[in-house]
Amino acid sequence: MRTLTRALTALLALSIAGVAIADQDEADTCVRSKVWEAYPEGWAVRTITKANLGETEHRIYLLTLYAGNEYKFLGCGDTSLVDVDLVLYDADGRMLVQDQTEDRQPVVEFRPSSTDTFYLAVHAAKLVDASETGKKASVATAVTYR
Amino acid sequence: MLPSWIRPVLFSAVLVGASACGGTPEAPAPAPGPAPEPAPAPQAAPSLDLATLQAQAQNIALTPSPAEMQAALSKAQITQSLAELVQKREVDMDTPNKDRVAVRTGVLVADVVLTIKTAPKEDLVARLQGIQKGMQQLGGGADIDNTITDLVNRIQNDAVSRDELVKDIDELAGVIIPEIEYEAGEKVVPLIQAGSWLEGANLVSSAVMASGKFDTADALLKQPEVVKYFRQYVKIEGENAPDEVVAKLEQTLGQLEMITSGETLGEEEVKTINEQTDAVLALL
Repeated sequence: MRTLTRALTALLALSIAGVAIADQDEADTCVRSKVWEAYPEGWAVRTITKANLGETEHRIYLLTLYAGNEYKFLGCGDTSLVDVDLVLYDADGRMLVQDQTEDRQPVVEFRPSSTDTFYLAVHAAKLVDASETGKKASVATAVTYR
Repeated sequence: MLPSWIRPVLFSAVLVGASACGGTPEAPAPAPGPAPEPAPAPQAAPSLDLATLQAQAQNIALTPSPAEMQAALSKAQITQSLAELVQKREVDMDTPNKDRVAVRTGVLVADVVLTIKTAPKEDLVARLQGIQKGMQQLGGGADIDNTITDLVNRIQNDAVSRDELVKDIDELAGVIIPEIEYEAGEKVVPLIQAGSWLEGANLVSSAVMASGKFDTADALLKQPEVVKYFRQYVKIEGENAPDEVVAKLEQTLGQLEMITSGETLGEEEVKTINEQTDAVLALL
């Protein structure tokens, strides 16, 4: 009986891990496809990065942005997310721009007037079911420019 | 003559058809219901204060790519192509010092990114093979090794256009390489980025000097946070004699941080940046 319980527990853990990887893949695939679709319009990618976030949690990235270049920040949350938000701040912490949609694929564009550092905050604003304790969702974020 | 059983069937069908077409004309129009509720305005993300931003910010996306430097150069009306300034290098990856390997690999990554559209096939292949060797030394794993082998094969067989390669190389430099967990430790990614940035900064400062447009230097080279980020990983620790390249890199980054933290960059500062980065790159 004990052996069976252990086996079932291991199986459950494996399947949860599998789901987590699948979710991460889903967010990653989504953001990559958006990045590659934008190449014909002259956009190029600086980096793509991923985070696992619970509801209302955030991740902050420090960025150097060049005056004159245009920047587009793309987010993709997996299907366990309802709303992902992107917010850009200047080096003094002033909010500059944020996405205005309630969905899991936010986009923010910005053209800096001077070369400087900025903060990009990625918020997992709302999960489909946040009641599950410790529930995390995967969010992939791309920094693109032209 | 229709059989008798079909009459009620036809009658029912007519009734159903009439109903589907909007019902009887004398039927009262349904009373207007309450106006639909407007969709709730999306909730704004909570505002974060500066202390939170500073304390929690991650540096993974901090460093601009060399291609981004080229874009900024063009926007600043400097027509010099950085690709034309890239030199051929004999880069030795057979050194036990992993920091040095990481920086060298980063320089080659910058060279590939900048010359992807213009470099002769053999130069491109040699640079990619240099990156591959660096990745092997750093313990980058089989996936990156296979990816680079595949790229090299496609280039050698003319099985990929240069435009398609731009995407592949951007993905390699900006997505795949920073994501890998290296056997050589967590310093590897910042040091690869440092190598790429140093090469880019060296080429940009050369282009600014050649153009004489020193008023563009702030927009193109003033990045103290980037230099600070690299310095965290290049600090020489312990009593062992430091590797010559790493020691020079630490010294150079210290000077670059001081220069780029100043109020503004002029001709003198641009020349210093160029000399300092030249000196490090010459040791590679």
